[in-house]
Amino acid sequence: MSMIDDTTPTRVTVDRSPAKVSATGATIAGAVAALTTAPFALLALPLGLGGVAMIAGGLWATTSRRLVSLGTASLFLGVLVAGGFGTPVEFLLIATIGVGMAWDLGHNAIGLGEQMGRHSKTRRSEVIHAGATLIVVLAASVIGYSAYLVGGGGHPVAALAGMSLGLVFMIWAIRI
Amino acid sequence: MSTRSTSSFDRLTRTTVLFLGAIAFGIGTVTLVVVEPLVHQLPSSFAIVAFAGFLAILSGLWIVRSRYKSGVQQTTIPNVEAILSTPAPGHETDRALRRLTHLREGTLQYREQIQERLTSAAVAVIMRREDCSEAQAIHQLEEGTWTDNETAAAFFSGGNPPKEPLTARLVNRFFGDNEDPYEGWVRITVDEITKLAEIEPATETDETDDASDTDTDDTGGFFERFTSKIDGEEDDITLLPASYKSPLEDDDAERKGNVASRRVLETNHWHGISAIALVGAGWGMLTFDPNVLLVSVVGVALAAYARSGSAPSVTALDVERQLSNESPQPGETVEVTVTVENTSDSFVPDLRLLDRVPGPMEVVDGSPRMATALNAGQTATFSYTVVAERGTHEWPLVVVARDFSGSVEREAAIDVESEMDCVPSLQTIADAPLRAQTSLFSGQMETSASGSGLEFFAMREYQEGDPMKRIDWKRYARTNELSTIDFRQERAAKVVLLFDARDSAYVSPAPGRRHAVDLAVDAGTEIFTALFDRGDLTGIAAFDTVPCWLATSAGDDHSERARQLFARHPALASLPPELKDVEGSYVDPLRHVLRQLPVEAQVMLFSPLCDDYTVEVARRLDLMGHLVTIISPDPTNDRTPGQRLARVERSMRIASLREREIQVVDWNVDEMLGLELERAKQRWAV
Repeated sequence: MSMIDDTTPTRVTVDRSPAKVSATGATIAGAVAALTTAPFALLALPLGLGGVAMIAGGLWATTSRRLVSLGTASLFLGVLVAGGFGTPVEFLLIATIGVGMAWDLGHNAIGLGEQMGRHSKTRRSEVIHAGATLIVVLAASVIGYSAYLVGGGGHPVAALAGMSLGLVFMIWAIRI
Repeated sequence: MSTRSTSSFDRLTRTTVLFLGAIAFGIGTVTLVVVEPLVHQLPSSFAIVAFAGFLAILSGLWIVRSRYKSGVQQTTIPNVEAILSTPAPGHETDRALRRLTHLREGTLQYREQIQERLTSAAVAVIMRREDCSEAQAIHQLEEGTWTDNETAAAFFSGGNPPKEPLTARLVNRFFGDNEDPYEGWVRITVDEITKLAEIEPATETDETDDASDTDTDDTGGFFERFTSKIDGEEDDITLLPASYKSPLEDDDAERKGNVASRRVLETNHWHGISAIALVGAGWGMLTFDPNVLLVSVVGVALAAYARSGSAPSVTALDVERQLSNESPQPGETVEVTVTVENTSDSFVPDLRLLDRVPGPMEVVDGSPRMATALNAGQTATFSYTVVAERGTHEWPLVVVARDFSGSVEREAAIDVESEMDCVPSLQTIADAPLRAQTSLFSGQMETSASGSGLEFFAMREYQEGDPMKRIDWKRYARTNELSTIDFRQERAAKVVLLFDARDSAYVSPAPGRRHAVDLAVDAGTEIFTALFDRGDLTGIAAFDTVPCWLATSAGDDHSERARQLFARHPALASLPPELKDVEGSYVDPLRHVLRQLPVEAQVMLFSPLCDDYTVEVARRLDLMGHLVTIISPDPTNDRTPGQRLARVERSMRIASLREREIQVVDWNVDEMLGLELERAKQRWAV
């Protein structure tokens, strides 16, 4: 064969866009959060839909960590608003899990896309990463929900005050 | 926790806050259980709860802000799929222009540099076009009579950049590509020079205006510009991955056997997640809504999860690489299969693998990357196809391992024992364009000298001493006069292939295209073979930091030496000098080559002709009586003003060389060299 002809064969194009599995997961998680906050508080609907749109835009239309972060922030704001309108706690928990997953998977999709590219095999690492996060948030939610059920209402204000202050301090200590 | 690079102060405050928090929470819990005595002792006010909520929201917002400022970090993984990008000719002009207008650095120095470059190109063009002296050309330039374009004319006569109307400036600022007035001025002037150079009559420059090259793929749409604005990233084309340093070359990296691993990097992937916990909790407290308060448990769990990770060890990975062909020909495709085994007894939850394909080789199928997770004893396999390039190649595998949560990662490079040895076989289809010449060896070059040979040339009177077998006996029988037949002499040529392998020759029209040295060596290999098969005595030389010389000779040993030299000599290597690990000082071609160049040898010079130095070399060789043929792969492009200027300069150089009757093959690299040579031959025959 001649070495001189420079007709380049099908060149592999490096597609640095977000990894597909995680990006799909993040979009679905965002949609779940938007849908669970909507039924009891219509005011949360624009925040939720806007959040999903931003996440989807930041992962599919273009690659933007900032859009994904803004999207999750908007979704979480939706959760708070929904809580203010008396959405049941189960819905709120599921919505928050959705927000956390959308954040994690969205950023993981972008990071994987930057390092590995879409043309590479990445599914196994994506699934395991998503699975581990999901297990953590589910476990924490189950524990928190049980405590919530056991705790009930009608506690002295002094106890609540001490616990609130303590809680804030402790979260601040493990902040990241 | 030990892996975190938190400062001791930070750790102290965290511990203190955690301690205080635990005490407050403990008192609260105790009050919950043992209500009576405590409730009256403690301040019983909703204000405290509200205060806690307020504090939580504030600190949550502070965390959001710090996430906004710091951003995510992760190991940069180099691009290995495409061949190593080399700059296009003219990149130094473009860089100077960019620094000058966008970064506003070195105003005087760069302005002068650009001015000089443009002036000399314009003078060369005017001299050729108007057929006038240099002084006249400079005069025309200063008077501004060389062009009708006033903007361009003002460039050399000390004017100012053209003023744009305010509306145009505003439109340009928000929707355009943000072109600086000076940049626009340079562009207009270069275009004017290009226009003059192209109309130029009576030269045989077959200028190749490739429409497919001019597509502007870098004009992003509005959406891309918008997101790039809010992302605050400006993608700068890095021509060489100089910033990337493999752990194997990094002194800070820790070496253990064949693995070099870097320090653990905090990715900040989860940075900001505690805002969910703090804002959720705060909002719940302020509104006295336990439902919202509960929501913060998700944030707390994720923050704790993110803080718990430690980077997995990467020293217990067993890597094997298999090549479908360990000694391929240049240009042949080779399938590479990499198998990675986790020989440790722990689970590696996130493993990103990259086979660092050497710069000169291109991946054409599959991917040299993979992200996976490996249990103890598990293996992962990926494969891809590369196009082999001459030389001996060994390359490492880069590994980036993360913990479950992805909050920390560690990069390592693993030396892999496998070698690709790519030496060209000498086969050819091209015919070398040698110039008519006489020398002392028999070969296939036709000369116009007569003597002994095969083909009839002329009949002449017998002179004493002529060999008996060349006397025409039939004629003697007829006329009784002795006469001698002369045959056309066939001679071997002595040819030295001289390669321009300086830094400036490592240029290509666009990133990812093969550079001029690669093209020249490929062409040289073919031509060497063609000459060798014809029995010509061929030598090889290069000018670069490392002296390269193979004396003209013939025979199988010689051809084997040439083969090895093409494949392995550092001067002809595919990596640019700055990336080669060969120490050397600059070698003046006119000294090292001329000292050894046989007097009657022809020189075939391979150079992209991107600066005047090679032109000077060719002239000197020509003056010394060597016949010079230049084979010049054309690496120029026309996307930027600098590139267009470099194209004009190169075509001027070729024209001036041709004027001196030095043959130049201006090789459009999209075409086969064989065709190009055929065309050149026909042109020269006329």
